[in-house]
Amino acid sequence: MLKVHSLDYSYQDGTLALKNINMDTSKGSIIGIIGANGSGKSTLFLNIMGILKPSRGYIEFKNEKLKYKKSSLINYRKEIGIVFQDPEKQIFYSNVEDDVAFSLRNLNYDEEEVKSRVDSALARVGSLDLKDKPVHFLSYGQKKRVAIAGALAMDSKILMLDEPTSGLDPQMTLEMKEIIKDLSKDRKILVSSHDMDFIYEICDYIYILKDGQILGEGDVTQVFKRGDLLDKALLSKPWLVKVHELLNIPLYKNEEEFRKEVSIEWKKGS
Amino acid sequence: MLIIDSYAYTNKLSTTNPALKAGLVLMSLLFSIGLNNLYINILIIFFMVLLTTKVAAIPLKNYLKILSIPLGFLIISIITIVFSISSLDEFIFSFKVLNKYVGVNQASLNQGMSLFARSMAAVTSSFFLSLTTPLNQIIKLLKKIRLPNILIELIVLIYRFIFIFLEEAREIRMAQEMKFGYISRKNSYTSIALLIKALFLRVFLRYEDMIISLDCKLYDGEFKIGD
Repeated sequence: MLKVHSLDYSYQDGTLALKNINMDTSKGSIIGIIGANGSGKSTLFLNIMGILKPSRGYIEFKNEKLKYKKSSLINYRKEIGIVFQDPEKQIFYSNVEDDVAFSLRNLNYDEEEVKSRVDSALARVGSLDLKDKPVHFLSYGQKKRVAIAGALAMDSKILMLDEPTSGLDPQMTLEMKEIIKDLSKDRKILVSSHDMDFIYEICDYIYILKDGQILGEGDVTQVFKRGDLLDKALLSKPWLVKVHELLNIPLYKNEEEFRKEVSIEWKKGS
Repeated sequence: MLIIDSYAYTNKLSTTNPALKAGLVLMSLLFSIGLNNLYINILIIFFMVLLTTKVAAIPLKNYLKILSIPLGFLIISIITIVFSISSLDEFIFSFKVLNKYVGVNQASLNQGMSLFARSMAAVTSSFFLSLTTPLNQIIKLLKKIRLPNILIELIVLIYRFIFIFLEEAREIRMAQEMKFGYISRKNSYTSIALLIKALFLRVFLRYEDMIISLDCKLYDGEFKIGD
């Protein structure tokens, strides 16, 4: 549905920030974009959102080239939502409900529709109880959920999440995983992160980014076995891959699976 | 976080109908300013202080602390009204400075008293509203009485951004303090200057990021508020 074709992006001073990016989001349902700090993840997202205009190449959406006219951008952004890393920068109201409703009201949805969509968006991220809370009373993790609900309200087919787990505690990270898995049931998700364990567990297709270029791509289990690529990208293997290689045990997709299997093995051995 | 704001959400009257509270305050403001009767004003002050500290249960100590800010300004201006200068000693109470008398006469004393009572009645009334009613409720009320949208938008945005601004300022200040930025007077001046500069820059950076986020949320020039 969404594709990126040999995209270059250079800053105004001429430095190349992204170089020959090719992506096809039909290759997975939760697509991970991993890379070290400053590798171009956020710039890539801004290009995909149509905020930045590529200097070469183009974005393809529904088999059409993305146009940068205001009306076509609005139509495009109805179908693709983004949640930025810092929730403070995308919450404009001091009341959670009003903020989640923001994009709906911008499109002049009628109030009844707004109310029901806000409720279901908040319920989806498990924050219905925050509805009437003032935003400045919320914790960082709660603000992050509200920001996601704000993007969910539009019910877009594609949702991009920029560093969804940065700054979250272990419990919140766990919950974020569940939220993203749940959301992926009815939309495509693009997620950027340098939290390898997180990406390994939730994604099914990966792009590795380094200095604005795609270093490698592939199914999650394939990519994370490529130690050379990960090293080059200044990243590391997820711990499940590490134990798989070190201890010569099967490769598990998540901790739960690992625990279950390992305890069975352990009992057999002793 | 602002203490006034946190009380607005946690006091015992925070869920009472905001229209009722605003109506009461509006009435007492009209009485105190319209009638300008010393006794009525004193009554209003007592009533409002009791309502705020006893019924809404705002701790008296903190209430007085908050009240001391306008009180300071008020006392200074009352002093300048009550005292006058004359070459003749026509005062109830006076002292001589060089060859002039500085003192208080009956008329100015009465005027000062009534002015003080009137202002205090107004201040305690508006404090009652701001300490017991969350701003989000007030906004809904303003919407109901059909205040122009542009004003409501302004209130909404200012209310949100005050906290972001304060939070940023607090963070910078704390970082400076940890690095001994406020250890002497001279240090404090440079630190404050740096703080203002850093805040100014951050405001601009944040502004840029927010524009991006507004674009993604299909902003079309108006901050809309539901009913």
